[in-house]
Amino acid sequence: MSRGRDEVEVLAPSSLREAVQVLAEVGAEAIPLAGGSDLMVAFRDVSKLPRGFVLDLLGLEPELRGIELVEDEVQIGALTTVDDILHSSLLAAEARPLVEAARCFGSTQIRNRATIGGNVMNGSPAADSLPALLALDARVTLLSSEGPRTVPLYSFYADYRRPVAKPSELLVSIRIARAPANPIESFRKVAARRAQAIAKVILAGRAWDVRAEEEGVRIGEIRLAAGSVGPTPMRLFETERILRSELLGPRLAAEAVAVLRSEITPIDDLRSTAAYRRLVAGRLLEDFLGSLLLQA
Amino acid sequence: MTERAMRLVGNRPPQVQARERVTGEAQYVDDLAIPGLWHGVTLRSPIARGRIVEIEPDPDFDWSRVVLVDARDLPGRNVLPLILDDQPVLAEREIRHPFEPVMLIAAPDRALALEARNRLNLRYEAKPIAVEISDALEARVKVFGEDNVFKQIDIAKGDLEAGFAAATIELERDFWTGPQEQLYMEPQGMIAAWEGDQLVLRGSLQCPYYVQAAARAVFGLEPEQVRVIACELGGGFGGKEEYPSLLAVHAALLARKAGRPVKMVYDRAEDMQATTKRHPSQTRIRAGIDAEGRLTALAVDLVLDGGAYCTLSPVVLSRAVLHAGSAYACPNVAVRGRVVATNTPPNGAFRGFGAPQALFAMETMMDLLARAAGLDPLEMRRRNALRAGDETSTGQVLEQAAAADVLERAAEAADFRARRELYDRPQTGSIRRGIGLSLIMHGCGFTGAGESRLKGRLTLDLDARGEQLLVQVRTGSTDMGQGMRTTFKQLAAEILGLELDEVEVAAQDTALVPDSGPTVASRTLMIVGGLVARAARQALTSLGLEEGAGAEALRLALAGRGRLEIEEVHEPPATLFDEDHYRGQAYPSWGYACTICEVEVDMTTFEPRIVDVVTCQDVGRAIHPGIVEGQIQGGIAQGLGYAAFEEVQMHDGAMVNANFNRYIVPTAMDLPPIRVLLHESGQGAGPFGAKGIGEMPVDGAAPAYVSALAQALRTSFRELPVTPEAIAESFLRPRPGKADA
Repeated sequence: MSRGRDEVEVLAPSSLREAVQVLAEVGAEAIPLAGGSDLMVAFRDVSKLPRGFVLDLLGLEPELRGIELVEDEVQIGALTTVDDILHSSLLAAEARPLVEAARCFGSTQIRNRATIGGNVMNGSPAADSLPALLALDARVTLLSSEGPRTVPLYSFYADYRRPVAKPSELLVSIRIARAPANPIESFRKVAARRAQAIAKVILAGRAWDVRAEEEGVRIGEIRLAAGSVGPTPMRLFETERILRSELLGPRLAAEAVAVLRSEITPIDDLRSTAAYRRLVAGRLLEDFLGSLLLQA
Repeated sequence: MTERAMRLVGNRPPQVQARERVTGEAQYVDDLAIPGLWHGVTLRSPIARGRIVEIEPDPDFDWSRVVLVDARDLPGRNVLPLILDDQPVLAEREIRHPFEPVMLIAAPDRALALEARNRLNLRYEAKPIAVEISDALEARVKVFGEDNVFKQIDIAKGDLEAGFAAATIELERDFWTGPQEQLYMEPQGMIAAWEGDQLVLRGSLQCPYYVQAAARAVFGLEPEQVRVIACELGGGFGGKEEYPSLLAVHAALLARKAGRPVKMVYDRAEDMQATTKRHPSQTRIRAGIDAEGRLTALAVDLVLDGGAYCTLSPVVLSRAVLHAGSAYACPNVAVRGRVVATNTPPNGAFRGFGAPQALFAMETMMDLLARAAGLDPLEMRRRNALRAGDETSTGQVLEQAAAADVLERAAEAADFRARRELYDRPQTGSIRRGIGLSLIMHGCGFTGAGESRLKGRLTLDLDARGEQLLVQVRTGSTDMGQGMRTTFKQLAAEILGLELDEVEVAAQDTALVPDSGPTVASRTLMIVGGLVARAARQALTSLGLEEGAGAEALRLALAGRGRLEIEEVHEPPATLFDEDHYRGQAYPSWGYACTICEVEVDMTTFEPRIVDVVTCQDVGRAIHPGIVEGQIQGGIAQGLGYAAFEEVQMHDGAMVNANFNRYIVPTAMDLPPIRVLLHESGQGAGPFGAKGIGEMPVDGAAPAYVSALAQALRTSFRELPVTPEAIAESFLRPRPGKADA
């Protein structure tokens, strides 16, 4: 039996300290609410209405909204909106794939509401920002009354929409690596239409230290990540490993595409088919590798 | 007609209510504040077919707070009257489709009504189901009668086998189209209130007198006891032609039992799951052409999926078979059309009404024939286009046929031949391009003898008793965004010599306006607008005035009697069309349209992009060119959605992608500007030579798109919609099934 809407208590902490204290007490029954672009849709289903507390995070904006350089990393506060990301000159210089993800994210109205922290915590395998963040070596910082801890994004999801954060922890920021020298980057989202669509396949990549040699192109470093092709957004470690192992040419490219297609685990669902996703993910990688060959 | 220059016809005044619609001031049914209003919801079947065992109310719920209605609450027969009277108002024992209404619940607020619905446990025994056309034809599961066929129509002309004998090329191919959702912005909504012994229904509906007839039949009432008011309408597209009758009866049952007004407004998911859609189709065409590429024989076997109840399916089928040959002359024709029953929600009226399915098949077949004959699609159509003096499949001799005109004008504007040749050259890059065209014709107004039965009426009232001359048009035709109020004002003002704001169109309220016939079939301007023009001319004649007389002259002429009321009735002879043999004049006018579409396909992702659309449409006369262009652009967008985006995904007969993020309609970013050329032949059956153009634009979009895609990818597609997944599949694994040459 579900409780009615009026039985939910809304808590509105005005500081981060207060918020983590509240979570220490009632975290197991609380749903933190940021922009609400996922949760308000979910709440239309009566069975998904919150049962205890909604933790309205709006009061934490002064502490958790903003994009800045912290040491050698770019730190994005959890309440930074997708629109902030789209218009950040710092991110345009340091994290182009993330800006590209923001560009095709929902609609203007959604981008104004949705936060990067919400996108990370919602953890949809089809989330636009997550493959970009994975390709940028993102780490997330969680805070509880016991202190902070940092988790690499690639190990943040235990399973389909199950982040490893504990109920007492609040996501406070995401840190990504600064752009290396001469990066070659890509973010491609394939969806059923050009706006307001949920991804069928996403592939994000960043390569650097890419050098043309006599027999082919040497990829020093590469990060690849994909969305909508498994239960969680995926860093493609195996594909990366193959691509670093030898000089890039047609043979290695074909091998990498084959590895990618076996590394991902897409399914048939209402948006697309496993076969299409596997096919297109591979072709997106071919495209990216083609741009490496051209730009090296 | 006078030689006088037009003052208002052909102008583009702002649409009536445009400002209110854009600013949100317009009051739709869900906006109406009615004291004491309760909210109604519907308990629906979770399965496609079975027997209701029991509906158990949760004993822990306080049922005194709500009102429940089931079939036992009906005052008479449990039938929603339409063509076959086969659809129950509420399922009683048998369930025949998913989301079939079983019980109604009303409560002081919607949340409580929904809560009560969750506390009803519907127990059932499921039975085997038939959900595809092939299931229906096999008839192992009997949904309707012994063979699941609601209606069959045959057309025969000439000698088919002689035609095939004369052919040098003969092809036979199958085509399939899926369902399509109307997706009006405003979902279905109705408020019912019993005021004394009068039932008042306010709703989002196209046809006030259809709703009145249904409510009268169910409750056994006289006409004046059922007052139906069409609210501001947030789109219809046929989806609010017959369905509102069911919703009105449901709301009225709840209101009667609750003793207070009840509102029922569907949410988007319920609207998509439970209401009517475009009929899925399966069509086999066998066609022969001679050495010059001219059709010698055409045999079409078309099957529509009607869903679980008949609704308007026989009429949809009629239009489908009458459009099966598209805009081409062919001496020997046999068309067999059937509409079959399946355990899916009933399909119904949707802009195009059977024609888009038939025309997709025939136009795609014309491309296949052209390829076989070594002709380009344009030349193929030039050789076959109907011309004045030609006859259609029913033997209707065309006095006017603009097929060749619209074809040439569109082809020139799109530079079709050069682009087609360019894209015929080898393409190897990551983007492949193609351009395709379609040529179609669309029958305007009701099919066959329909208008003779309807006898649409309209009243024009001129009142000079006050300080101002009041001129009012009273019609039951509704304005669902197609601009009825604006164009009717233009017509009356043009003829009477008034300014637009000197003419008023009365509210669509059965207490105030006569039955002008339903607002469907591209008939409103052509037929009912014709009555406006006739009434205005009749008024001038009886006052002894010339056309364009003006307000002052009208006031003077009316001075003696004060007021003049003219009633016009549309009564064409019923003998023009033989419904038993499908011979004769199927429509008073045919419109013609050529649509040209250019696409690019990204070979990395198999995503198509529509880069250009050019269309030339024979509209007879554009009373308001802005409205006409808007209708054409909107219709083409809807047709391209049908072709490339919109896929109703069904599981065991139930739509499973019933929301905006899974049922994909194109946005402005997915469509290029649509370039519209109006062909004004001035030879339509409507006022000033206008034709009906509400539906025609939808017809040609899908085949033009598919034709372009086929060129880009050097294949062909015979099933709609063509999704990127289908493109990828055809590219990698050409199958001899649904995507061969």
